[in-house]
Amino acid sequence: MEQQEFEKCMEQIRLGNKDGLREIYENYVGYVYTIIYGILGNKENAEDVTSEFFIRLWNSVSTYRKGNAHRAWLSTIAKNMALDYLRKHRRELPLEDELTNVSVEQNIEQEVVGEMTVMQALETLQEEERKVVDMKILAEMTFREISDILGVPLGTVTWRYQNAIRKLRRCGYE
Amino acid sequence: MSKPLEESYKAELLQDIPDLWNRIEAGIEATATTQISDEITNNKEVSKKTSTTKNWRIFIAVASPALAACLLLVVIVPVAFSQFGAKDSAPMAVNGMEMAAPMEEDIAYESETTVRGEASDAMMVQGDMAEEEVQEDAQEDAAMPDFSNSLARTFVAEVVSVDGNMVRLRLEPAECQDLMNEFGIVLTEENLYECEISPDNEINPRQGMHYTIRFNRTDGEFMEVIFVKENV
Repeated sequence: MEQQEFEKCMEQIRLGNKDGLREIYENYVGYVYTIIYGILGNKENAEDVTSEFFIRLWNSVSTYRKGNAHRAWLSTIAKNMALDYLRKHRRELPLEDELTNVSVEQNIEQEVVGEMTVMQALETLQEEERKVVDMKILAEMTFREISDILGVPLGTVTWRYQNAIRKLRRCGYE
Repeated sequence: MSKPLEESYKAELLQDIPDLWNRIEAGIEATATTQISDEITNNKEVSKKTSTTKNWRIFIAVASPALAACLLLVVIVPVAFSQFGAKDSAPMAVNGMEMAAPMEEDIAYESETTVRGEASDAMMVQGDMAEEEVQEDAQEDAAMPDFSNSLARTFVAEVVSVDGNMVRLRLEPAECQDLMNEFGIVLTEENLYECEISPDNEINPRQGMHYTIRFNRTDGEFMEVIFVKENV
């Protein structure tokens, strides 16, 4: 979506027209959802926060300043909302979605066959590695941001990422 | 042949997203309804306070004659007895009456005032609780995340030096492009940014040292940026 189109939609929202929000939703629901999922690592929670994101966009349209790079603006808000949710529900959050105990041996076997889906490949990662991959790839965060959020040293984050990438490469993903 | 991880992952993830539009639409309507009901609740709070004041007035109007009557019984009756009844009764008996009557009246008065006192205390407590609830609501409202604060950004920066209030931070130009564009932050060739902080800007949470720096826009708006000292 171009900046001008986005601003037109924001203007519609300002006037109370839901069509503006609907258009932004259709263009950005995937983008916003992947960022939020990347941080929360849970589908249900990501859906809740994504819905909340668009409701807030509707209610707080006045905080948007014209001329901003809207994609970056949306991304920042989505990240902040997800992080806020994470802080509030840190103890209640379930573990990663469907991280089944697929053994590495089994995966390597499948690798030989070459039929591994991306989800199966991701299941070969340890929980900490998966979290870093999600935050890096989906939430488009820098290693420093990830290190700050997870509360682990920068070196540990990059090490986990390298490990994860090496495993994923063995599964045929780069 | 290797497959692109990022594209495959995102595509896989997006396949599962349900249509959230109905939820969003309902949320928007619910917000509007909540705003209206909040206004109604506020009006109710005001009317509740008014009715509490009315109750007090009624209570005082009803209770004051009763209290006056009690006072009469406690003060005037014994005096009257002592003045007029003393001639016909033995002094000890009169004294006994004098002592007995006020005691009974006192008990009645005390029990009455205690009950009323408790009732009025309860009313006051209710009033206080209502006020506390209003205050709590106000505090909760104040604690609600402000959307404009969502613009706050966090950067991890190596704190190169701290000289009094002057802090020199090493920033990644790629990461703070919007700061540079929006607030005219200029980095040196070594990617250093020098800024002034007040002691209030410095906080010490569990992970290293943080500096919160507020950048002011010309239109009066501001953005808070948290620089986190990198563990070096």
